[in-house]
Amino acid sequence: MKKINMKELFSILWKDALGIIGLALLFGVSFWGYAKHKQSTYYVSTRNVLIGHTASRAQSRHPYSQTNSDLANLKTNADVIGDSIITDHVYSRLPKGMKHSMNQHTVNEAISTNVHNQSLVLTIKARGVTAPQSSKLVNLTADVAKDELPRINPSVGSVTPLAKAKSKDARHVKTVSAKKYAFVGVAFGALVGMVLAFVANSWRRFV
Amino acid sequence: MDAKEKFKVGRHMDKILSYKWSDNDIYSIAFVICLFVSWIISTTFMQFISYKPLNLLLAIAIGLMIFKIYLLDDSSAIEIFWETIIIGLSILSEIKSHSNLILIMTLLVIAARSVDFNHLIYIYYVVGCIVITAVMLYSLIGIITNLSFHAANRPIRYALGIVYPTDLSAHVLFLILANAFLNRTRLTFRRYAVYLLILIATFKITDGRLSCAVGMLAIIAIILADFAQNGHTICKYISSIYWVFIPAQAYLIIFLSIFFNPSNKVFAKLDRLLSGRLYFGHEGIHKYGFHLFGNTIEEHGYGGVKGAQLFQGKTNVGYFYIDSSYVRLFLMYGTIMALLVIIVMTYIALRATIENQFVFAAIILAVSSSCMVEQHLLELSFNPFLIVWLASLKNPVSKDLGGT
Repeated sequence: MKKINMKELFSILWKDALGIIGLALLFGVSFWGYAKHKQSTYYVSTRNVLIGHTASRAQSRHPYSQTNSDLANLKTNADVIGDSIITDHVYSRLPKGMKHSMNQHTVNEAISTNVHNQSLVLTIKARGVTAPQSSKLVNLTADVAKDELPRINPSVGSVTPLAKAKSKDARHVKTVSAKKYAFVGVAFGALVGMVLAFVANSWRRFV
Repeated sequence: MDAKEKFKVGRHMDKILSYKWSDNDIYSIAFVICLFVSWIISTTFMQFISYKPLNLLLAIAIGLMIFKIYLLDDSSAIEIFWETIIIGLSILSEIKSHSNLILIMTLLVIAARSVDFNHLIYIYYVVGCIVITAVMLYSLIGIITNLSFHAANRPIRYALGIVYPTDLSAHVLFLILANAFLNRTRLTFRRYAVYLLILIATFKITDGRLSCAVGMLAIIAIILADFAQNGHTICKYISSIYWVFIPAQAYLIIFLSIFFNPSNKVFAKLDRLLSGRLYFGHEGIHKYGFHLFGNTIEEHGYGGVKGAQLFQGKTNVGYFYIDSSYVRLFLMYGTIMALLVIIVMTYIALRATIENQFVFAAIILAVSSSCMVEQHLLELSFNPFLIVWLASLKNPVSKDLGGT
């Protein structure tokens, strides 16, 4: 059995280089196409709200412990805002156009909250198919929280929405990167090509 | 295209279509498909590729092998009967375990009747070298992920495009074994030195202590076996018992896993040396038990992107993995297939010993040693050696007589 060495292998690969490159391009395009097909894009808008006994702290008899209890309750309030008890209200106050394309469940899925260490400011995030949709959703949620949260959780104090989200500031997110897939496809195709070139070549010699 | 080009393409197509496909060719196609799929699954390409096209390719390979076994091979009726029984048993194991590895390897072994084994290992070796080199380069460039694992008291371990550093060192070890097999009649100390250098380099990258240890022992075993093959009496005595170690190793690791007791100091120390393998093997045995055709076992390992996240503590599930191939055989695929595989492996090594092929026996021993602690026994991109059972192995005459 004749042994192969590096030089011979390279000459095989060079001979079939066109085929290898062709396969690489083919896979590159297919992977790219697949990624583009799988890709979904969405927009995220954020708005902050201040939650706590902010208005009445000056009059409170224990301002320090009041702040601490507000901080401790923040995650709870965040969870309430993310709950459908609030998001259903958001859905009911949506403009007619948006009401058509969403339902209570998708509104609930689109809204999420983030708490920050040692801060009474809570961040509300909303996802939308378009930038204006996401900003409208997040602004509405903040307003609903301002109205409904004290009713649901009377110990919350007050909810003050901060700056309104603008649609032009919404973040554009892509789930998969078609470009990355294209590169991976080219690499994979080249690999398949090299393996096939070698196998085909060793076929002619031995079988 | 001008007339000349058209004619060339036409001639190629004509060559392919009028080619007399032999049964070896059919098997080679199935072999390359299974080999390539097995390789890709062990790389971080899997982040981008779903199992569906790969399973489709495997289905084609399965079809080709069944075609060869039943329509092309001229086996006697009894041989076909027993082959069918074994394939049937492996299908039952596959259904019970939800893993296609046992069926693929069983078919590969049975369909390899009369196929030139030297040629298969040659294909295995070169394809393996191409893929591992390309995958390492791709991961260094950044096309696919080069996973790195940071743990306390250990250097950073890199997987270089493979799914886990230990798997990378296992790939390297098996490629070295394949190279040793292909050159089993012309091993030189220069070759051993190159093996050693490669093992050390791999160890530096992966910190795979067990693979490195098995590799070193393998080289020593092969050196002794090479002397034995050339007539050295003492080495002959030593090499003649290599085959015994195979069932012994299977028995040992199962025994240790069953009777593992963390409060026993000896067991605890051994388990630490084996990075917890005894503990999880023990867990598996007591959770799932030994059954005829195996169990479906849900594992969460450190391999791949998801595994790396588990390693860094970013996921909620706990680590659970059965590393030893032998324990896996019994737990996942069942007692019947486990015994079958171990018997076949022992038989292969024994047959090699009888035929004076001590180097091959040493290689099988190395495979068994690695599989005591690694899970790659049934994966073709790691272990192609089971296939020799029914294949045609023309052992070259020794180099003194001018054989290749």
